[in-house]
Amino acid sequence: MAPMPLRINRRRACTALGMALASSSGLRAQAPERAHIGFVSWFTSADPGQLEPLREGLRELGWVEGRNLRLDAQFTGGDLARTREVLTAFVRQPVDLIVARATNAAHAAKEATATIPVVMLVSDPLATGLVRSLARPEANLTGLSLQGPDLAGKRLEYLRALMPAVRRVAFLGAASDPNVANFVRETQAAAAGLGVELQTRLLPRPQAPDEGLFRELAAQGVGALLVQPIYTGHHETIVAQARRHRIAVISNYEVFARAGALLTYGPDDAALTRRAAWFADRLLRGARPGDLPVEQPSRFRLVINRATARALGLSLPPEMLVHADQVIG
Amino acid sequence: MTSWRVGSLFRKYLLAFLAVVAVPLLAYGALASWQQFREHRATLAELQRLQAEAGAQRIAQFFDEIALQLAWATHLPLPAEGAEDAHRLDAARVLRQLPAVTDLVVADAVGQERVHLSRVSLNRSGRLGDRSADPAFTAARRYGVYYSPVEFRRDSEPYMRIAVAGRRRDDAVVIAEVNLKHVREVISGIRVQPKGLAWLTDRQRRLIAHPDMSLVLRNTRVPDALAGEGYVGRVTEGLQGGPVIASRVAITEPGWFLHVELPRREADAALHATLWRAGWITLLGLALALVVGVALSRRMVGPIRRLHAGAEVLGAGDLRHRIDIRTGDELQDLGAQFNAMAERLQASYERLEQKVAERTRQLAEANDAKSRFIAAASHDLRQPLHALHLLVAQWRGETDPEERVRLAGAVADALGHLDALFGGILDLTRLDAGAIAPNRTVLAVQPLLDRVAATWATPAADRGLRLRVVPSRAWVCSDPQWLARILHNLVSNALRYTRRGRVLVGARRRGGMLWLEVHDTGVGIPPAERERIFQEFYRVRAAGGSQGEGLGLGLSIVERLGNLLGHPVEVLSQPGRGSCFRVGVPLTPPVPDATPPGELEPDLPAPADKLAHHLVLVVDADARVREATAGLLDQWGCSVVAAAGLPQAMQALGSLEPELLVLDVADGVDAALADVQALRHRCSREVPAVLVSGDVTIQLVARNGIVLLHKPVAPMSLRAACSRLLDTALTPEEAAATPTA
Repeated sequence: MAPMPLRINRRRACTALGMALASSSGLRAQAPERAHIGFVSWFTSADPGQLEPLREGLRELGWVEGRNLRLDAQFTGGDLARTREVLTAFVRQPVDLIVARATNAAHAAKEATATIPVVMLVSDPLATGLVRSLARPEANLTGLSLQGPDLAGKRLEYLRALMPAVRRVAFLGAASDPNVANFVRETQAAAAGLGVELQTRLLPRPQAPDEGLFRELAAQGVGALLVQPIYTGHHETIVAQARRHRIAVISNYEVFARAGALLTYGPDDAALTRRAAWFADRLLRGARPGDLPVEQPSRFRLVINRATARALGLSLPPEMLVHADQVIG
Repeated sequence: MTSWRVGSLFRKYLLAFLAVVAVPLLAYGALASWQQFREHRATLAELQRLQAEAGAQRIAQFFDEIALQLAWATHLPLPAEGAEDAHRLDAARVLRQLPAVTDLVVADAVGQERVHLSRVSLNRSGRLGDRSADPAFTAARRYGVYYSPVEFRRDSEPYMRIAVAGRRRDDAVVIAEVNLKHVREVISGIRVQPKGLAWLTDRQRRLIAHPDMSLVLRNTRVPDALAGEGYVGRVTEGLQGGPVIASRVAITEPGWFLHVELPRREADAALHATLWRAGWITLLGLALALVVGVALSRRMVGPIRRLHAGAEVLGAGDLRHRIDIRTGDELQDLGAQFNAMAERLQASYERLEQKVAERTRQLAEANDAKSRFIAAASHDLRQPLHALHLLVAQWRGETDPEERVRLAGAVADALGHLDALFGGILDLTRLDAGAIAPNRTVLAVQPLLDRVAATWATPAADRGLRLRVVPSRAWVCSDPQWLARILHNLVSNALRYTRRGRVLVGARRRGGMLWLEVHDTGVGIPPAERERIFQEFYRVRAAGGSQGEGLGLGLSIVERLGNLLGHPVEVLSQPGRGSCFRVGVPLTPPVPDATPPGELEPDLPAPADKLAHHLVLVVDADARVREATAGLLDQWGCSVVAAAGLPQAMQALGSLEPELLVLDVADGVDAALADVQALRHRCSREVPAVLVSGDVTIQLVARNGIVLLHKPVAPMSLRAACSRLLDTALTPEEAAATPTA
């Protein structure tokens, strides 16, 4: 296996006596007195869940805002120009670390700097070309893969289990998102396997769709809408409008289910966001991004909104109750 | 430098003390530390072994639980084909129980996959495929449980498959895909001491689970140093570098190894704290020992330094200095000794100074006396010489034979006076030079008194004085010759200073001594002069007293002879009424056979006719003395050959052989003796010789026919000596052959 440069450097730097000192607690000893983190999210600021767990995680690791941490949080709402602007400002300052949320933001960060470490929270960094290897990211990027598209089929399967009668579903995605193609492909494959007709509706960028879209989907007999998680932040609008047209909404993150979506299935977003704090901590203490493999989620949560199901006239089959991690309402 | 040496003594004391304290202290400290270190490590290793075994137990438990759940699923009867949905619910329940399992496959007894549940992909059921050749199926069928090798999906995440077969032949086989990231929770839950950690490897040394997930996701391979079948408490380099104490135990079921490691620094932190403490205590002990050592050495060396300084001051001559040491031990004694020594030195120094002052005074006095002596002697010698000059001049011009005879008698008187003067001076000089050795013997007093009476009766009568000698039968121990001299001098002195009345000589016993007393009715001596009457040439100048013919040497000789013989000499006197001189002589019992003192008389004149016709050689460098001596010998009837030195003597003698040698001792007695030997050699016989010396310190015992006389030599003394030598030298044959006159 390849030697770890960090270890070698340390071995060179330390005398025999100092080795013990530098071994495990050594990383902590290298922690800077103050850290400046630039947080940029492709989403709107509507969902506090995309930042708060990070803040908590940092606090647990000893990074407290106002004391030794300055956390610049910027939400660009899918505006690429604005995102680049924010990142340019980060690089100019410069910040010690960038946390980029969503694939577009991560790409923009990668373009903006090759030196400042970037912690990303993205759907599939391997597929979208952010990194070439999960085990060794090799660039200044590392972080968490949310495995968004992977579960597209699974969500459709669970939808079918709840709505055995559904024949036509639609996928709502943002055309500007690099993941959208994967989402569409995975969902289409699953739809084909399940014998469901899939319609794809792509908006130029993640924004609240207007009433006309739902009216049109309802007119076409679409029973359910699969929403790309990139629409987090607009979830309440989407869920509210879908409800009005009796269209079931399914998506990745629990936040949708809480807003009234029928079901969500995906990684535990809060836990992953919290985990990003661990990456930030390690990088601030001097670890190289290339030495920190990109982590994939190993736990997925199925959250079912019973109230929504009831409103849609659906009953919850026993198998779904077994699968469900949480049933709301 | 002296202080350097003292300093080294201080260092020696200090080092010795430190060695005595420090060596055992350090040795004990080192031993105790080593012991503690070993015990600590042993305890640590044991603890680590227990923790590793407990950890391995938990890992095994984790897999046991999965296997147990899967085994439960195998017992569920598989429904007919196409009706698997009911079974799916059961399988879903199993899946729900096992969060680490991502996919669950149920195969029937012949290996047909019937149900496939997944957390990621679509669930399926029905005839899904043939699994009969799958190693998971075959191995599970054979062994009951199967654990696949670990596989890293997408090169990052560790996965493995666990398959469990039912006990009965027609039971299903359940295969589960396990995401091993979940083992991390178990691994992180294993508490390894406060700062240690545990991790898992498979047989290929690949890291499977570690609290730091990134190490696993990076597919870390464990270095060889950490491999092996299992060990406890090994000190090695840890997985992330740095020395650690590691243990490794095997987990038989999946065939993995659980490692526990503790950074050595953490492991030894408590030990280090203890050792530091022990070190500090040791250092403290050493410092204390140093302080005590310095103090003790100071106490030891301080007094020695003071002794040293004191000795230096004393050595420099300040004897009044005293050393002050109050240590109450041997050093204080030593200081006291120094002080006592200094005191004694000071005392003897003072005594010495006194003695020097005394001696200086004595020397000055002696010098004064000598000056006085020379002045007096020259005056006293001039008087008879002056008289001689006048008499000789008168004699030359005198034609009357009678008057010439009278003048010759007066010349002889003057010469006798001179001779007596020289005799006195000679005696005095010999006494002062210590040249006289007393020859003590036992003798009767009466013969001595008889001689006094015989000698002095006439002179006393001439002066109109009565001399009375009281007889005595006592015997005393003394030198007869010198005792007689004392008595004669006292009598002479008494006669000289008495104008009328009498002189009484007697003996009186008192205090074991016989006091020979000479009383007179003379002028007496004033008390102030009593000390000085014994000085040379001192004469009491009594009113109207005659200076007479006294030399002033008599009493000096008496005093010196008294000192020499150990006889006290006393004087009692009343000015104008008389004096009493007395000398104390030790009494002895009478000795009937003792030699009569009269026969010891030294200056018995020898028969004069012995000298006639003998050939005498006179050698003297002084022409006048040579001629006078030759003339005198010629007058005595000798044939004389005179020479100035030995070579001239040899020449003058020619073939003649002298019968007597008269040699002047000019260059020391040894040279004179050598000359005698040379002449004797020439004559081939022991020719008798008379040596005449002017140096009174030269002494020679008369033997071997050689006699030493001191100048001035009275003609009678020379004649006596020559006669005696010739008499004894002549053998009977020679005597017979010698023609008699």
